[in-house]
Amino acid sequence: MIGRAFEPLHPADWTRKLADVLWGTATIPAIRLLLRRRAGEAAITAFLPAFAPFHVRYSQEFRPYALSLLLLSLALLSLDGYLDRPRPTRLLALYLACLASSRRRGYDFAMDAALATALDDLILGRGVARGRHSMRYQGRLVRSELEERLAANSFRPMTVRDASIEAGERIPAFYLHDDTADFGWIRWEIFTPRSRRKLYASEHRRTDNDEWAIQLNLASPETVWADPDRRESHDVDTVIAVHP
Amino acid sequence: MSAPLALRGSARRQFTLALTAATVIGLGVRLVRLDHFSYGLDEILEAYWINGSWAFL
Repeated sequence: MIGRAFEPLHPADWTRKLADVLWGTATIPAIRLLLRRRAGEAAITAFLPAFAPFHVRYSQEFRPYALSLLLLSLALLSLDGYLDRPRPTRLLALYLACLASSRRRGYDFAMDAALATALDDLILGRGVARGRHSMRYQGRLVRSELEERLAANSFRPMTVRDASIEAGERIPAFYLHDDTADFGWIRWEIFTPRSRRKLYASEHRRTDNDEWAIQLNLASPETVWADPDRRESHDVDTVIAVHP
Repeated sequence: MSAPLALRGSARRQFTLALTAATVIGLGVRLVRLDHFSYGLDEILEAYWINGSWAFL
């Protein structure tokens, strides 16, 4: 949400990383204060996270990895404070810190293994008809999980215009909209030897006229998740010669 | 026996000074060559996700 708040200002790539720098820097005193409470005064403990190579590297990323460690440190600090002197306010601080930490960690790493397998089966068409699918799993929207599995399977967001493809080839692609994932292909549609168009066409078809339900053409700014390395040949028997 | 108040105040100042120094140095280290690496795939996806639709919220 913090990242989204700054996007209207069109920040440069490096300025997007400043928030993570702040999270990483704030982790230094958080860890030091925690260690002071548990292990005493050794000053070196403040300098270890300050220079820790992996922590420095992950404090310079656009993705807020450093925020996870900061929230975890704050949760441990809150726990130590509550165990030291149990007070309702300290319990509330502990609850909020744990909640924030678990949510952050959840976004980073926690994906149900069964869900991941089901999404992979859907993406690769392993025993599942691809076509049109709802992106709801046990009542919750799993669009971000599907995008993560698409990325893990080498699919990339791209427009139809950006997809490199020749006549006679087609690329598998998913168009995500609302809570629906439509599987289809980016391909050339051949009308005559001198007339053709490149488009994304969903496998799902309209019920009234059997046309492709979703069609995105060269001018469409919308993106689909496609993997050009999975291109296939397909029958374009009407074409004899194609002129760009 | 607990330490005299003056000594405890001195230790607290030293702790605060060391912590401030470590934090400032840590900030400086993290700002060095912040623009050196281009985005990795995870960061590209983060940018895509941030700029996409949040209608599901």
